Amino acid sequence: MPNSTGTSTDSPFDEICKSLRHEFPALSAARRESRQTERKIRDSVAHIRISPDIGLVVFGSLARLEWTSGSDVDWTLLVDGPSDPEHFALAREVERSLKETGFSPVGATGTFGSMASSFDLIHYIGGIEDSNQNMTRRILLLLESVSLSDTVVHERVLRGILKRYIQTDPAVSTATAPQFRVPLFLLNDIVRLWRTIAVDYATKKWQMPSTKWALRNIKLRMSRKLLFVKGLLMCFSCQLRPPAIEEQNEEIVLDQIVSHCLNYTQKSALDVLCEMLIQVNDDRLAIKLLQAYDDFLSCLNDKKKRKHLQDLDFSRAASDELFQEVRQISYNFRDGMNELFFDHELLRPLTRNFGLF
Amino acid sequence: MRIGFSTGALALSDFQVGLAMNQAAGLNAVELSALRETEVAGLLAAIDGMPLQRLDFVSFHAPSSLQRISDKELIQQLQPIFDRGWPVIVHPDIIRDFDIWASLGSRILLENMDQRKPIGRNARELRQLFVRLPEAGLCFDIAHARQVDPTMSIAVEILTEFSDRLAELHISEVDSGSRHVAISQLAMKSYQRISSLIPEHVPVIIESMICEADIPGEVEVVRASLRRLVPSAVGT
Repeated sequence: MPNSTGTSTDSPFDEICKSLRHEFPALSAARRESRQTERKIRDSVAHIRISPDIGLVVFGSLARLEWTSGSDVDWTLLVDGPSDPEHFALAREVERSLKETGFSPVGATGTFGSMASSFDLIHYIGGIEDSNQNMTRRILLLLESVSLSDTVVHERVLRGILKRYIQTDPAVSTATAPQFRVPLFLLNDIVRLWRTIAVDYATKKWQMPSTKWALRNIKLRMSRKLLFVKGLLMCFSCQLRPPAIEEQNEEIVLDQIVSHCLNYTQKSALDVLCEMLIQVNDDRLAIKLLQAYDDFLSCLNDKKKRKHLQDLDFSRAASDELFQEVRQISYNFRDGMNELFFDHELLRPLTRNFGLF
Repeated sequence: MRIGFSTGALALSDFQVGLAMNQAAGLNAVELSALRETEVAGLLAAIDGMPLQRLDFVSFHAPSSLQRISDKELIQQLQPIFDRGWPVIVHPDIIRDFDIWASLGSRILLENMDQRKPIGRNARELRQLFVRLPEAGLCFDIAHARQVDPTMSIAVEILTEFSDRLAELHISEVDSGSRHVAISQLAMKSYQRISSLIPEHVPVIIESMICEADIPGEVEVVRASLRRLVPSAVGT
């Protein structure tokens, strides 16, 4: 992974693999494929001139560095400036270029559609204007998004959203001595998204009982859970790994928290987890969690298995060997997460204080 | 406080008129602006006759793009400026030969860029440039930083990380078309929030493109925007 000075450094995932002397082939392959796919997409849209007020942003498995053979490209034009009717034509041009390069169109959920405006994402947090879709867009932008064009718009919107959460959150600082603490406003919205995803899973299963339910189920238990974990660790990190406070001006400390959280938004969920696993220094637990995720991605990348899960009827799930196998993988992952958050002394107090009540 | 205008903000390419307006307003600093490469020769030829003696600070803004001459040729042209010890403000995207600019040490000040430029907009991008220009100073354009990030957290990152390089401040407001305009109330509040990171001795150059009648009002807005400058023992 290139760092800011252009030299190469190991990602937390690379670092932990070396430290454990253990390989996770499906994870490594997915990360490699993600970077290659990202390059292909960049090339396919490179001819499109995008104005400084617009960012081309991708979400989902590509942003999580979990690209597998069945992945599709979730993307949006993020507009952070004056609205222009021509934005629609620009979105169609991006879509056409992606199709010509052989990528599947926008994910079926259409969470992002082809355009999103920064205004709603920044100004409508909570309250009646904050729809399920707006909240999902906002948190996914924070937790799993990557800019494929110039990064300035993407980063500006991320900072704007983070500032909204942090500047009004009294848990971040006190009047007498500014401190980094868990930002509760942000944490609550991340918890809200996790619970919303779980509820929406049940809704989709009710509305479309025989379509893809098993795939959605396993993704909920694995990749969606990991996304939630990233959000939790981002919030906990404000207290666990705060940058040094040299400045006593509270407003500037708030800006530093925005930058601190922004740094987390730009790491993959797996890398954020690996950083924490390095910090808790528990090799057995690290292998347990990463092996479970490796098994999950290996299954998703197997076209036959993926198709089997995609077509599996709910009534046959209890006796289906593959489904029971992936379910066991998800149990291993869940148990590992429970250990990490409830048993390790580093995270236990934070989980106890902020995890539920 | 050392404060004055960029001649280009007051009178575009007519530096004599811009300088006269700056002098008439009783300001003690100025930035001589030659944003087009064709303006350099005329400005240099006129320097000896300019009434600059009473000023506490003079800087020179190099052209923002080079089409006809190389950066080496530009540096040769600017020798009279370097001889006077005036800092030269440089947009990083005109630099082709980093070694030759690096040889000028702290005599050049890199300016952070607006959102249209692909480099030099935030701390991460500036860091990459300063690796190649280890002794260069920073001309912090607070309006560019706010355009790139209205939360001002990028501004805080830049001012914190490069505090030892900060040698000049550019101030104005940049609109959505990246034009330098008069400072609004919203921008003023943003600047006030972070002005405690700017030492008082750093010269302030106003880039708001305004007419002469609006100069006193804009100067007052700038002073109000920077009311929390950190007092320092250096300079005035």
